[in-house]
Amino acid sequence: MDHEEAVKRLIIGGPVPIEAASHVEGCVSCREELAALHSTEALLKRAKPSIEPAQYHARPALEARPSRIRRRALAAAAAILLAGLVGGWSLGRMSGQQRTAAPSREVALAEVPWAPSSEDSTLSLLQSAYPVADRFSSVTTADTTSYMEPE
Amino acid sequence: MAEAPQEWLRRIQAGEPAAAERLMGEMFGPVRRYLEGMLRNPAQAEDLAQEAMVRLVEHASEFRGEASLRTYLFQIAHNLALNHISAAPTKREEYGSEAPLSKEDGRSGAFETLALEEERRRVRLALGCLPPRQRSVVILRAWEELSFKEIARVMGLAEGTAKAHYFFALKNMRRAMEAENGP
Repeated sequence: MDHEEAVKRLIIGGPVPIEAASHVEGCVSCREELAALHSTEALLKRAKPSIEPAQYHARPALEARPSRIRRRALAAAAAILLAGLVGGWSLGRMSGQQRTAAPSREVALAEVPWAPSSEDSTLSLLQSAYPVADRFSSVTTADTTSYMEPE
Repeated sequence: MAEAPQEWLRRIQAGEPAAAERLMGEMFGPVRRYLEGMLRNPAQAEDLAQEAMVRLVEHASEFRGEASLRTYLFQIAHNLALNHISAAPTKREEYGSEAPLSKEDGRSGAFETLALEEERRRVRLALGCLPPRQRSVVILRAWEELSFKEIARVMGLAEGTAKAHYFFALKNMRRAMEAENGP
């Protein structure tokens, strides 16, 4: 048995083989090494930091953190809520666009100061609202046909 | 800890404040001390100790009672510490503060207090020179008084390997302290 193995057997405790004990007993360097390691071990144990009661303040972490299942349930609920909000907002936006794009004739006529009389057609309403529409009103069906089907 | 650990954990998971408080009272201090020894940073040790406690409760269903609850908790803390160290291998921080000396130390005189502080400083420096696994074995053995069998379970090693780590850790600490004292 070598020096290191003999000292190791004595340091780690438990049953010590007779061979190791007798080696260390007769070996000055092993005895010195063993004494030095015991001294280091004792120093280490003396330096053990004490636990102060003030350190027991971390309990809220245990209580505040929801369990994994609860976290997943919260995440799912948040996702559903978000989806509902987005869906509701989209629907609201679409219906708003429809109202803007195609107001009822009565409302449109009543609201705009330049509204023509109720007998006027939609085309005349457009012409008065968007002057550019005049150009389209002058285009005849024949012109359109000739444009679309060149000879 | 007469109560079965599984039952204790079940009560904590059920939200019983008394059970959670008892867990913190018995386990938080040692786990924090272990992590502070491992990380050499009190603030990070505090954070990781809290994380370890939370994980203990979250993973309570995985606890089969083969080891003690304390061993299981140290296992969680050990893994957290190694992950933390491996994530920032070059970041070496000194101890910011040490737990103050308490009356339990049994030394009330100013000289004794200073002597103990000096001893602690030397030990901290020597611990800082050790590789993480040796540091872990030394702290678990000398400060937390775990058996080598428990240490082996905490660290996922063979018992003989844990013993060898302890022996070489003591040798390395002795060398480090001798080097600090000078020739």
